[in-house]
Amino acid sequence: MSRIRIVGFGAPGCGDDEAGLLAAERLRAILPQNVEIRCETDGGANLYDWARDVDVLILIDAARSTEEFALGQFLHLRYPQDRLRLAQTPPFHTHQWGLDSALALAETMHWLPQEVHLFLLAGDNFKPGTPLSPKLFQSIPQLTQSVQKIVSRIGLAGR
Amino acid sequence: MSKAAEPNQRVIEVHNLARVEGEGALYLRMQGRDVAEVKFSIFEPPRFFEAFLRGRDCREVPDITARICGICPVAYQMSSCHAMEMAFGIKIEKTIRDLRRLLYCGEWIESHVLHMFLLHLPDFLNYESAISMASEHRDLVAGALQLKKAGNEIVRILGGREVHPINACIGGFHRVPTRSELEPVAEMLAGCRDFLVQALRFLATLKYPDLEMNYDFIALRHPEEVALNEGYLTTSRGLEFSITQFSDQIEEIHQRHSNALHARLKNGAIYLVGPLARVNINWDLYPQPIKELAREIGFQIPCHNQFKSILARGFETLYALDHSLELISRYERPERPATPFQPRAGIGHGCTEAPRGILYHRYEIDSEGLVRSATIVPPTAQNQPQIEADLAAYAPKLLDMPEDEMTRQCEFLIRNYDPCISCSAHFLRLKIERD
Repeated sequence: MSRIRIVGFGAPGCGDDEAGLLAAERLRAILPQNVEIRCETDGGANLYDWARDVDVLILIDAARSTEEFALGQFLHLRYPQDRLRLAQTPPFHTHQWGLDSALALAETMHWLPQEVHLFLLAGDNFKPGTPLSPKLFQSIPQLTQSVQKIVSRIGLAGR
Repeated sequence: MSKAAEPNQRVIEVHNLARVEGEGALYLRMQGRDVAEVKFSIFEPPRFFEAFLRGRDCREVPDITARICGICPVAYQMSSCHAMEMAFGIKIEKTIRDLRRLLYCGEWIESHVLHMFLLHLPDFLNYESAISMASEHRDLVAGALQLKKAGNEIVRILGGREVHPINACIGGFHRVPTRSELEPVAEMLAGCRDFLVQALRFLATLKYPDLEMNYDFIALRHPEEVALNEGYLTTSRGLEFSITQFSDQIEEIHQRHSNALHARLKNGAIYLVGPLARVNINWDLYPQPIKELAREIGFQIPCHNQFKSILARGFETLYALDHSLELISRYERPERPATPFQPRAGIGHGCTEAPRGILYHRYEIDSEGLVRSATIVPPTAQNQPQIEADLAAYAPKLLDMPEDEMTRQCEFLIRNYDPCISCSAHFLRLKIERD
């Protein structure tokens, strides 16, 4: 059976930066218990914990919306295949070690599994003490459905 | 980036300094071989925390101030808790005091290790980033990340979560851990000790740029222990004062080029806070095994070379690791997590040793427990004038270097300070002009 780990990144109570955490919590409620779900509030810096010893890694984080990537939309990228797209839409982070840096470091350390999925949710408000944008909140169920499909596919493949 | 503004002028601009926290810039103008002007500017927008604390309930302050920084939130919580406790005359119990020291050790470990190994070390080894460094120093990076995880774990257990913790409160904690919750962390820490000692031996072999400055160090000092949360302020030039006299001795001034206030002593002198200041002032209180390791690797006190702050951070990390083990080994869960209190009108001061240096808070509270005024003086704001002075002293040594190497060296110097710009504006574009 494939070991699947889902990691939500973000900062609670910091507007749209909380999206990854909320998505991970929602998935915790609906996915089988053998799918490991973590919430990371320290950017990507805990990669020693979240990147290693797993077969499939599914990462969820917020990113700043752009003209092409509007509030509430989400991107599904594969890493390292979609490295260039990731560089164009880096995950939001307030400190030096964002998820993009951490992924690159984990790759250098040969810690990443073959299959890495990265979901980025477009947000536009990252101020402390503010709530998640309603439009972003509404898009979380659709994102979790996409994650569920990946988990189901891997689960079937594992039988 | 460099450009020639006039025939004799050389201009170097770097619009974003990497591996620092926040948004800022540096402007350096050279006249011949002399530095004519240095401006270390902080562009991080002002965050007005002091203003929006006014009118809030005193109990909310530790959680609100923890939001100022994602790297040193414990420092903000501790300075605010101690200030409130002074205002309300609260005495905390010894076990709670120990737990607060443990929490602070966790923050020192996670913050220092991130900076030493992932942000600062690439400068010494001439790598663009930790990512390129990791391909040739995998064991070092893996060991560092493991140690950082141990620090994070302390903060998670005692703070409720790793970033912006929520468990510390006025009088103590909302909840205290059981001994069995702390024991796995002790195992993690003990498992990292050999790595850290070996890493310090490696760091001592690095080539350190020659920049001896006549620093006036300021740090918190406690008569019996390496100060974290409590003590009086002392300078390396012999001045001692209570934290309640902070604003009598230190003033904040606005500089047009920075969104963060600059701090200086009232006599106009600039000063240095942070790891190098602390080890210079408190080295006599360090445990013998750490002093022996320092002797073995040739680290001597006094040390006035801020490039060696990476070693100072290393020794502080080792102290924090050993002290955490000691605190966990003697831990017995207290009967109550916090000393109960009733807010009253008063003024409280808190000053604790954040990873980057002293962090001062002052609050005036009314009879209903609401904040009437708040003052927060973070360490990076205090170090800004000293960063400019270091650059003014270092730049002339770099003039014969190619522009890109000169720029890299200036960024390297700034990273000695592990500047936390979000805190100070509540970091860095670099521009150098040379005639």
